[in-house]
Amino acid sequence: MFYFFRNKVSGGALYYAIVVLLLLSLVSSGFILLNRLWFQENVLFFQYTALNDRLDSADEWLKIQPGLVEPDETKNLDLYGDSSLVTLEAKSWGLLRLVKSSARWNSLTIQRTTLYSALSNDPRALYLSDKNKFLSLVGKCVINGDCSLPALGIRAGEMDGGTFTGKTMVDGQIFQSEKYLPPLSYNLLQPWRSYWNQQFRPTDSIVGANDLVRHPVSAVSFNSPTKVINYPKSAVLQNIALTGNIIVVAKDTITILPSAQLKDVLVFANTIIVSNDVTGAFQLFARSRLSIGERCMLHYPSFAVCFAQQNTAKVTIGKNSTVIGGTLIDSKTESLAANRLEMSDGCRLTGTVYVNGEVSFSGRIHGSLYCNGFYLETPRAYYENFLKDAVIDLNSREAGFGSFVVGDMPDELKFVKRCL
Amino acid sequence: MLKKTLKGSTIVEVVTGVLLIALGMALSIVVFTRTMENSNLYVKHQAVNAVNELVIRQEKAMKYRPVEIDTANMRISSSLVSFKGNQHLQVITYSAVLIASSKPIYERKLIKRIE
Repeated sequence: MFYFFRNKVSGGALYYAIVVLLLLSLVSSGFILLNRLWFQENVLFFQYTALNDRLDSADEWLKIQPGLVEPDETKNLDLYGDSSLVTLEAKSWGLLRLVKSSARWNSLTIQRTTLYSALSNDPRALYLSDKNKFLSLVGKCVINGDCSLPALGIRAGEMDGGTFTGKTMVDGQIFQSEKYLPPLSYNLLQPWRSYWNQQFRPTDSIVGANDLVRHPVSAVSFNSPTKVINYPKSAVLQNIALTGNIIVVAKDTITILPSAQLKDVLVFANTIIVSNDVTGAFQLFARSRLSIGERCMLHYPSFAVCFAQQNTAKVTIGKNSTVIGGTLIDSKTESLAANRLEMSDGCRLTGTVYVNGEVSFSGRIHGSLYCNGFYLETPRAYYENFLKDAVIDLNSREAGFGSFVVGDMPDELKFVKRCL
Repeated sequence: MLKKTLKGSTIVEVVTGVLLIALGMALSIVVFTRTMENSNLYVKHQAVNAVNELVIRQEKAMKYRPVEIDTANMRISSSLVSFKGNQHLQVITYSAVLIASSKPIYERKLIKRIE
């Protein structure tokens, strides 16, 4: 036996075997690698699609059921009862709602940040609270949509020898209004009230006006902490481009010049002045006065808000200016008539216009108007609850236009944009 | 010269060599078979394309309805079920099934608003 094992087989069989084995190993590892790559690519592709579908589905659900996740809430939604979870985290961004949604499979996570506006199914074009006065129409007035009007109703008025020359006074149903406007939801402005007093959230990243020179801010993602640019007194925004998750706050006055490019930004101050020819898409929150100059174009989603704590609120819209989004004027004072919205010739407001006060109407409103009265001053007289050549047209805005809603909860949410 | 350098191998060495070769070959065959089995990935890709095409077509038309389409080897279908009793939301299941074996290959589920 021992002899047998000591006996040698002539030839280099082992060396041949090693070479063949090496070749086979190479081929085998090739197969294994290929298999692994195919598997990974396919699994990733299928899971990526499945996760995206989950997020799309959660979006659809949230849009139709806004109470599903309210601002400052985080919820895990099981869509199909098979542990296909989607996490939704909502917070408000001005008058809009910011929702971060995420879905994961093993180590693969997909996340989205989306801005939504509120949608109301109310077909009302005008809500004029009942102060025991007629609504008088003069000239070519157009009111397109349902109306809630004072008990005395609507009539053709007479002004400077002219009267109503339109086709129909109201193209829609007429209901009787209450003495006061339907209230806004307390939660609508609640998260932002402290910003007027320069009290910020613990998660905010505060940048002083002096730091801005050394560390300029331009674009901030909604997935990182909110950058608050804090001016101790007044500020003039010029030659600056701010985009995204940024809030500009000043104690006194903020003036926005045309060279400032603001997008998605919130602006808080006691008084906000938007100069002539400014364009952008931003939300303005003034505490006593908000003035928008001539030929300004505030694209969707832009909101002009004036909410007075102790004094009265006044918003002025200059000639040929446009605000697409919404306008809100309210105050805590009891003399609500002192709250004013002054519209100039050729101006256009699109979306919900809520004025807990009176409106000097000129131009057009493409959306719904809630107010306590109208006033019109001519060199000769002062007219109460008169509308001249006014256009309030709910149907001329695009279908399903999202703004803010009057009342507690929107009927639906409307997709505005996907954020970075 | 060859006689000097290659003196030959012991039987143990040869047997070891043969065993290693056999092992390598067995491994290759297993991997190769698995890879071939996974060639139904090709079928799966066909299914994915067909299902995605149907999803895109319905999304573009904004019309979601039950559909059954037979291709050469598979059946592409969509079915609608009410989502958690909500009258406006429907769960649409798009699926691809092999006709011969009734084996499901690919499925997508989407919640859509339907008026």
